[in-house]
Formats: sequence, structure tokens, C-alpha cells
Amino acid sequence: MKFAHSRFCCPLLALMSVVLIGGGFLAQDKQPRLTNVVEQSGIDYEQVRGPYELYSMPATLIGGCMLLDYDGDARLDAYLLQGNHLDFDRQDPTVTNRLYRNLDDWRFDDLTFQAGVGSYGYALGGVAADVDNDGFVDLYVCNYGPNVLYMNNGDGTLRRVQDSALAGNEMSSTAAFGDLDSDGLLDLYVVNYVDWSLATNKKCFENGVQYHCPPNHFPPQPDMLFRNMDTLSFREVTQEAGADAERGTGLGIVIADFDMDGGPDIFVANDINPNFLFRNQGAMKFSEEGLLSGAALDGAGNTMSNMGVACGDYDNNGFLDLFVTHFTHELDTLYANSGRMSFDDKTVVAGLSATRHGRMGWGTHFVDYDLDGWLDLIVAYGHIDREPQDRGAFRQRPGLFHNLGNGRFTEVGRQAGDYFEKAWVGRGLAVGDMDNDGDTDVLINHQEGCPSLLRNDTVAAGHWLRLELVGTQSNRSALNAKIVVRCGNNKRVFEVFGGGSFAASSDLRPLIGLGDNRIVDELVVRWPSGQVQRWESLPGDAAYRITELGDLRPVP
Amino acid sequence: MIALKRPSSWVLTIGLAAFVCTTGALVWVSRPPRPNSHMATLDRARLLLTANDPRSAVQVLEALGPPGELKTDALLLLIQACYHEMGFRRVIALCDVMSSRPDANPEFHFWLGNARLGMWQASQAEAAFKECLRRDVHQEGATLQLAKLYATQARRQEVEPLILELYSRGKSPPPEKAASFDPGDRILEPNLLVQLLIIQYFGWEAAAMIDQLRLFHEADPDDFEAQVALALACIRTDNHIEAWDLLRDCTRRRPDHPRAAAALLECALAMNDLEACRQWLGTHPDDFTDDAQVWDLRGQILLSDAQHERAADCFRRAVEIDPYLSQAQYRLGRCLMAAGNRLEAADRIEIGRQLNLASAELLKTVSAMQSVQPTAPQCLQLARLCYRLGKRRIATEWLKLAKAFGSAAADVLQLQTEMTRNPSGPIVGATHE
Repeated sequence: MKFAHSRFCCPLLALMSVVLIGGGFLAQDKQPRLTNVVEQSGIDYEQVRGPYELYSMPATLIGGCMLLDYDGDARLDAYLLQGNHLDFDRQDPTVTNRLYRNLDDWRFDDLTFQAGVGSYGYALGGVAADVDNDGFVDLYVCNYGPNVLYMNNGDGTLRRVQDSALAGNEMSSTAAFGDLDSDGLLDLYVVNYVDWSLATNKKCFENGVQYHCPPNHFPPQPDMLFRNMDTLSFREVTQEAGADAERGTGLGIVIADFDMDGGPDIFVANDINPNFLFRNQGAMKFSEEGLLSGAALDGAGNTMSNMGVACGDYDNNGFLDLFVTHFTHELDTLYANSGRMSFDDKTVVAGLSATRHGRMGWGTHFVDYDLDGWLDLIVAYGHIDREPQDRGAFRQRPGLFHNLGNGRFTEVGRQAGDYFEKAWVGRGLAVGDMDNDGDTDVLINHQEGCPSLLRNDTVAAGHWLRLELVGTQSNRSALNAKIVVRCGNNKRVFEVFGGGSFAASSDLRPLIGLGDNRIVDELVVRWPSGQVQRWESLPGDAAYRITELGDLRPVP
Repeated sequence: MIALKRPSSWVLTIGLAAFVCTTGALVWVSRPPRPNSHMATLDRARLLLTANDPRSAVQVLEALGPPGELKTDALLLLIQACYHEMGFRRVIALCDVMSSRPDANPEFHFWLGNARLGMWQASQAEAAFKECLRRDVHQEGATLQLAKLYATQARRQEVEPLILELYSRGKSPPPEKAASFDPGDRILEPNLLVQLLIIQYFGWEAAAMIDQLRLFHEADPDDFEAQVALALACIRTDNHIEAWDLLRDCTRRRPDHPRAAAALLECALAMNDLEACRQWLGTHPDDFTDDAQVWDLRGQILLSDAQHERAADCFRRAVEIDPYLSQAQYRLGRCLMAAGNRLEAADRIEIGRQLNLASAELLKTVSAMQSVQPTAPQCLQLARLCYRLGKRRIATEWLKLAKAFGSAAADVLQLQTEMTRNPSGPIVGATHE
């Protein structure tokens, strides 16, 4: 059939073209874009796990990473944790953790040895915060073997602190700081895994193929809670604080105020054991309420292989929710916090059941990558065995799940760039605004390869607000400070929480997506000290430095 | 003679002799049968089947005459040979011939079932296996094929009575097999029980099953169970839209079918379609009241709607029907917790947790037993775990095995006493099983 009315058809076609092309642009603009820029960055770290043939427990976990501003230049630097030989006598002193200073414009310089943080050992996780409230970020590195506390000298160097109590000799997988007694000093919870050594290593086989033995082949090690008595004097208070629950093979931790009663609580994700949720009773006393709160098991009451943990208010109901990553045959679990210390498993109704398809989750974080005001999810996946005997593969595609704003997520990874198309052996995942451009970038470390540095290039994203909180009465890092942002009738809650993800430490500056709102009608900061500060009509698309009992200043 | 002293000559001679013998044997078994050598022909056919040469077996049997004129034993062998030759349609045609005979061998139903399965006709295969078992209760192959089919279609509830029936039957052999039957063999054969536990407690691998289930559905779109199973696999693989369409059709066709209703609710929940869930609750207030799974799903819907009290009522109904439904126990605990009844909440959550721990322990034990003969402690452990999970009948069988394998009498007696004292299992007030 010929076009009999071409004079009508042409304008119609032109209009349709405009609509289609415009629509195409719109659709394209809304797509996430996270570009891996590690190759040009100067980061030349390659992960070392030690001999695979040992099928060791620490080697399943190795691959931690941290984002921290160690030199106070307002740019996030990267600290990448490293393995080595598991026989301490055979360790190579040249294979160390590596610190890369952010030179701006996505270029990094290796300053490991100048900064004095080039220790070697077998580093599994770590956490960064200003422990002595001197304005410079300190480091605590969790090892298979003694842990290490590095205090920042404030001159671009850090010194190793000899503290046998904090060092321990367990297999510590991760740790988190938090001001648990609201005294302005950061306390420390160290998560321990299993009592494993080369001498006690075991061999496990399935179908004639060797695989890494599950953690229940080894005795679990108890976690440890340290109270900061004075700037650098820590005392172990695990038992007296009531944090001596059953031993739990812990891998993930978050210290945050889940019941919004003012006292930070402690959530510990335990591998093949129920998670712990230590509810803060005040005066450095805790009660373990994991089972009663619903956060210990999945929604059907099953114990899962809990590994990484993301924390954030994904449904904007004013309470912090949790997302916990698991083994290949298990569904990662989304725990929606309905308040009153009650968590409901919303994984399936949130459309996150796709996470189960043969993927093993590790590092994870809630991030509002498109700044639409709803927290999305990013997950690093990868198996522990090169020849998995389940349906998983060793290398696995990472996951990026877009929050649709109606309680549901949809996976958008494949649209987000090459990084998400490829398969990796993901482990640690840290997030932060590495180029200070008002969106969240991502650092992910992998086993048997290089890390990835994902620059957020999502265009036509929403408006934003980044806050840098400086405690004066409270701890200087403002850990456990709460932020309430109101735009019109829409009120959202954020917290500067300790821990999160897996074997990682992220940017402590909250980055808040405002969606279409250019102005924040009301901003409230509730400090751990109890102080409350409030501002109104704050312009968005800006970063602000807020000092407790002081002022709010735009950050250039 | 001189030449034979050289090793190479020996090899040559032996090789030649072997060739002559093999060729001779093949020529012998393949040669046309002589008249009145019926038994010899059947023997030859069996030999060829054993040698994995069904095509020749078919030829040998066909030489006896057209199927309608074959004796019953020859016809059965021809059916078997055709099945092994993948001639499923021919098997069905031959089974038709067999079924019209007054002296039909009931075993043909087994081969008919297998042929139907080969053509992905699940419901007809099921009917054939059931018919086989109706006529010969000792047909182990039919039982196992049926159990496999049920396992593929996620019909776990139907597997247990089937296997336990076979297991208990094994102890009283049919009269014609009594002479050669060693009851010890069956009683000490734990493989069936292991398989049963694997089917019941290992997760259903929907992703691995879905292609097969799709073929079942395509081959016979009217097969109700195949459609429900495909829908379930679609739910588990996050293809909710296809699942929803399949289940809407299922529930229209069979509104009284609890598995289809439960799957529809599961699908609606997975899609977060609370409106559809509410609508279902409104229109089915009095349906499936004796189904614990459906009560559990009702509770989940109400829980999603934040109606904790009503949800608790549903979960309570679920655990009254099946106190060993761990997720319902756990969810009841969570609802009670929300209602402030911490004491009972803690109890329920703990019961749910203990049941899950027992399942996990059972899986671990069974996994270790898959390819090796169990030990007495393993049998005793499985007896304990099955009892803890409310599976008293299976526990009893494991206890017998433990005894037979040499478990300490005191341990056996202790569990036996406990099982006698609480016949319905360790959960207080349970009347399950």
C-alpha cells in the first residue's frame, strides 16, 4: 500500500520521530552509567590470595578495600587490602596492603610506604574513622593473625600502634567503630570468623572435586567489643556489655540505631549461623534480639550463609533497613525495618529474588546512583571455588538493582556499562564520592585480578546534597549522627553508620539524592551527644560542612 | 610349531581365534530362528538386549511373526526392546495389542509409562505406572519412576506414601518371588529411604527442571499437574507473568485444587500484587481449610498487609494442621512478637528454628550417605532427626536399620521409648502424621 496522503504523513512521521528520538533520549538518560576507570588511574594493585591448592578459609574471604581521606585534602583515597602466603614464615614482605592517594581527576599515586601503612600479613577487612578525634582518619586493619591499628599523624603519615588487646590473634573478618555509650569516643566491635590454621585445615570433596570446606568444619571464634576508655585506651568489654552471644562466624557488621531510640545497635551477619542484633540498652549494655527481631533468619526461619550487609532506609519509612548477601543456593535477604526493632523479609515482594540465580554475594551497599531519592542496591558477586559444585560459576556478574520507589527493585546492571557485563570474583565493595561531583562512585576489589574503580556517569540524575559532619561534643567522625531531610511532605532519614558492606569501609559523608527538589526545605542533624541542629531552605546540588554546635558552610 | 614359539605369532593366533568366535557368536544369535525354537529366540533377544543391541533384538523377535501372533512373553520382550530402541510410538501400539489379551503381563504398563515419559506425556505416564502398581504391587521400577516424576513436578507430598509403601512391601515378597527373596536385602537397603529424604528436604531445583516441565506442558497442554509444576518453576525462576497466566487457567479449571491455589497465592505475593491476594482471600474465605500451606500463605498475605493479628490466626491454623511446618511456626512467632506476646513468640520462633536446624542436619547426614553404605550411628542419627521433624514412620525404619547395623541397644531403646511416649513427635500438642 502506498501512502496516499503523503502531505499528512510527513508531518506525522516527523512528529513521531521527535517523540521516538526524544523518548529514546529520555530512556537513555535515565540509564545508570558506572564506568570502570581503573586502567587509567595509576592503581596497579593485583590481588594475591596465596596458594589456591591449600583451599584455606582466609583465602575465601580475601579482597577487602577502603575509601578514606587519610591526608585531609577532601579527596577520598583508596586502601586495598592484600593477602600473602598463609604460612607466616613464608610470607613475602614486598606483597603489602596498598594506599593510593587521590590526585584528583581519577589519577592515583601509590604512597603506601611514604604513609607507613605498607604492612604485610593477610588482611581481610578494615575500618577507618577518627579514633582520637584529632581531625584525621585512623585505620584499623583486620587480619588472619594480629590486627593492626594505624593512628594518623596528621602529616600524611600513620603510625602502627602496639596494642596487644586490640591486636588479638583471631581470624578477624571485619570491624566497625561506633559511639556505643555516647561519650564522644569511638568504641570498636571486631568480628571474628573461625579458628582455622594451616595445621587444622581440612579437605572437602564433592564428586571427586576438592572445594573449600564450609565454615562449620571449624570452631567459630567469638567476636570482641572494645570500649574506648580514653583516646587510645581500649578495654575489652564483650562479656560485661552482654555482647557475648553464641559464637557466630561473623563476616559483616553495621553499627546503627535501628530502633531510633538514640543508642546505636549492632548487627552482625554470621556465615551459616543466625545473625546477631545487639540492642543498645544504654550504659554500654546490650541484649541480643536477633531472633525476636526477625533479623537473625530469613522470612521462613532459615539460617543463611550471611556475608555482606547493606544498611539504609530503602522504603523511606524512617527506619534503617538491611540487605544481607548469601551463598549461591540462597536468596539474598532484604530485611525491611518496620520500627520497634522488627524486621520483615521483603526479598521476594521487593523483586530481589533474582539475586539467587547462582550468584554468591559479598560486598553490598545501598546507593542512590541516580539521585532520585530512593536508595538503589549494588552487590559484588563471585564464588569461592574455581570449580563450583553448585550451579554457580567462579566469576560472576555484579548486580545493580534500581529502586522503583514502590517497594520493588529491578536489576539494571546490564545497562550500566561494561563492568556489569563481565564476570568477576567480587569481594569488598566501598562507595563514596571520589571526584566530589555530587554522585556516588564505587570501588570494588576482586579475587584473582585488579580492583575496579567505577565512576558514576549517570546523566540527568536528580539533585543532591552532600554533608560532611564534624563532631565536637560527639565523636569527630560523627558516627551515629542522624540526618533528617525534608523536601515538601517527603521526609527521609539517614545515619552515618559504622561498618557495612563486606571487608570494606566507605565514605562517611552522606550523599543524599533529592530527586526533582532543588531546595531542601528542612535539614535536621541529631548528633550522638543529643545536640540537634536545624536548617531551612538549603539549596541543593551542593556540599556542606556542618560542625556540631557550630555553623554550616558550603564546601567549595 | 616353531613359528608358534614366537610371541607375535601367539598374539596373532589368539586374535584370529577370538575374531572367529565373536563372529560366530554374533552370526549365531542373529541367525533366523528355526521353527519351534521359541524359548531359544527369547533367550537370544534377551542376550542382545543385555549387550545393548535392541535393534537386533527387535529383528530377532519380529522374525517370530506379527505382534498380534506373538506369545505374550515374546510380545513383552518386543515392547521392552522397542522401548530401548527409542521407538516410543511403537511401544504404545504394542501395549495396545498386549492390553487386549486376557493373559496380558502387567509389566507392559511399566514400559508404556516409560514410553509416555519418553514422549513427555507426563499424566499418561503417571496413569500407566499407577496401573502397573495396581496390578503388581511389587513393581519397584514403576514406583521409582513415579517417585521421580512426582519429584520433578514438585509433588513432594505424594512421594512419601509411595516409597514407604514399596519399602514396607519389600518385607513380604509376592508368592511367586518368595523362593528367591531374601528379606534381609530389602530391610537393609537404605537407598530408598535416602532418596525419599533427598526429595523431601533438598531444595527443588526449578531452574534445572523447567525445560523438562515445559516439554511436559507442550506435549499435553491439558495435563493439569504438568501445568501447575511449570507455573511453580516459573515462579521460582522469576518469570511471574507466565506463572500467573498458567495458574489463572489452572484455578479456573480446578478451583478446588490446593496446590494450584497455593501457587497462585505465592505468585501474587511474589509480584507484590496485594490487591489480587486480597481479592482471593475475599472470594475464598472457606476454601482449603485443611491445608497448612494455604493457611501459611493466607498469613503471609495478611502480614504483607500489616494485619499481624489476623496473620497470626492463619499461622496458628497452619501449625495446628501441621506443627512441623517450620516457616509457619517461625512466622507465628514473629506475629506474636509484633503483638507484644514475647513469651509465646520466643517459643514459636525457637520451634521453627529447631525444625530448620534438624532439616539442615538431616541434609548434611543424607549428603554424606549418598554414595556409601550408612553406618549404625548415621542410621540412628537419621532416626532421631526424622522423629524431630515429625516423620515418625520414616524414623521407625531408620531405627530398625540402626539396630540391624549394630547400634547400641540402649540408644535404640531410648529413642524407641521416646517415640512410644510421644507418637506424634516431640512438639507438644502435635497430632500430625
